[in-house]
Amino acid sequence: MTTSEAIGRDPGPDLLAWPLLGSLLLRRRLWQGLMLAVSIVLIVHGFLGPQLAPKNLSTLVVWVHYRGLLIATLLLAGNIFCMACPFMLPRDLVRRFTRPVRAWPRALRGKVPGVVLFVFVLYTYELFDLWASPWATSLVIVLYFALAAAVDACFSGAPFCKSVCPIGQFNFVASTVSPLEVRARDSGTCATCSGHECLTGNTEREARGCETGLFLPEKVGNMDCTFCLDCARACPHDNVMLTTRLPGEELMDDRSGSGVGRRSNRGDLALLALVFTFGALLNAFGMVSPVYAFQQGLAAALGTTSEAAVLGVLFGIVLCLEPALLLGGAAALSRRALPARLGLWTVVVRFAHGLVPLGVGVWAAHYGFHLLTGLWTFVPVAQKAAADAGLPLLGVPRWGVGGLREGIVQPIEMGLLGLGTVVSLVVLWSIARREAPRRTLAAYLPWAIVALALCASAVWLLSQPMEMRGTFLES
Amino acid sequence: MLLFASCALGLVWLSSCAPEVNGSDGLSVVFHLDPDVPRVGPTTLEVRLYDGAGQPVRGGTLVVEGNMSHAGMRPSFADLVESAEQPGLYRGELEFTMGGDWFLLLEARWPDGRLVERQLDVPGVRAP
Repeated sequence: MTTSEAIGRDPGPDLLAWPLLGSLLLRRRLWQGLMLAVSIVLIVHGFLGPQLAPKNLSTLVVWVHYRGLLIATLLLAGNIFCMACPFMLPRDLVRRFTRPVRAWPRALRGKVPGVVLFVFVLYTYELFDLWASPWATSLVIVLYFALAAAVDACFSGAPFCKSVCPIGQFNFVASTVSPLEVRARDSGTCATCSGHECLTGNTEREARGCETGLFLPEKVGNMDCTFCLDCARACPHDNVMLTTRLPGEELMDDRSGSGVGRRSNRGDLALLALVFTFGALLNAFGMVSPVYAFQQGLAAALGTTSEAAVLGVLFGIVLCLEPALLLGGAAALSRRALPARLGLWTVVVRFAHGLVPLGVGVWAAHYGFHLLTGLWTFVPVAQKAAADAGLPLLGVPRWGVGGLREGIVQPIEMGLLGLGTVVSLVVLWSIARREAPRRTLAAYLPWAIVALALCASAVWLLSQPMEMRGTFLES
Repeated sequence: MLLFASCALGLVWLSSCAPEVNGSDGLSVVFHLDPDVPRVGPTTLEVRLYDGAGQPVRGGTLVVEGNMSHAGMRPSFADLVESAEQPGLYRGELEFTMGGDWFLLLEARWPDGRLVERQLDVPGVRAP
């Protein structure tokens, strides 16, 4: 039963049935091909083009436009970038020659590998100033292609998407507040279906089933859904729809979902949600003026000039110490109101997803800033790249173009942050009501205070002067 | 692309108020920022050009484009005008719009039409 059916709501419009849009959405290869072509251009320009970040398509498109459009599509539609993921094309090509039969190791299932890689990417991004290095950015893209092909060439299913890919994990978490969802149109039709083609595939239609193991009638929300629409192509009853829903609704829904289980039983999912949320603050912190004074003070206190060590301590503070204190405190206070005596971590796991909308707000504010202030900067860089390649079709580079002024963008940033915070407060209330029906307010308040404290720190971050530096210890 | 690659050979850190950037062409560029420790806002940029014999170059046309090391920021531009009192000294005003690491791309056209390009790094522009 879908969430809408569970609460008796109209299932909403089916975007797959819309003329043109529906057929375009179902042509995944088209989108993947376009993204592959863009990726190749970025890789080539990153390695062979000017090694100046603002003059190179690789650094510009990846760190400014791709990230901004990624979070924008997640907020306005759904996991569209996973649907169009170009990393799957070489992987699918490899699988034409080799059919992996080994299952992904049980110990590596779940989100822990993806969380580790996500933190690793954030760390290397800061340590090696990936944003300032075209060739390193291109190398990252190449490594993504290689890793996707290598993992999925050795193991069956889609372990790269489900457990490894850091971008995928980011998208899965953020898509929980997306307004679109893939789901069954009518659960009654699914009840009479014996083939379960949405999961197993349909040989007649030459369509594969869901590679991340989501059985559509039992799917709850967007977690682990790449919007690939393999299920829609495979379903012999055409009972799959892409429809609207209340953003963030699934964060309040603790029913056991296919391929995911119950959120309240998944410590790894909670860990991912928390790294996503605190990582948003950490990533934004790396862009403002006070971080350099803090890092220099930290280096002096530690008596080191190693940037790797100082960054490691900073990451430890923001991703381990701060969450441990804030969440541990909130869990200790709120568990007094819960009917059952639960461990601190268990309480954290149940409430952690309530902070996700706030995290999405911080990511959207940060990436939205770069996208909007640098909206048109790709134009002169593309013009110059085309001219350098002997194709001066795009005209003379107009280096003066930029984007929106900071003064216009900052209210948008605050609006996104405020929206995320409000949704977080609503989701946390819903979780508190579920977990402590008799003492909801007592269970809710500590978590609401955590959300407001994180929001306040994000407001402070966003109001700080931007200062984008590389080697802070040398300056 | 090749121009930028050759510019990278002349890359130096701005560690004093008057760094010198030499190229493989034997020409050298000495520049000075005021204030010495650059901050967000307008900054006066002075550039001296010397030929291979160490003589100041007069009558050149200099254009500077300032960029942040992070992609996606609108560049700042400045036209440098030769001083009437001190031939070979070119002066102009550049706007640092944000704190952080900047680099300046200097394009100097010699009186005889030769074009010389240099990259000047300006790390750690202070936020207000």
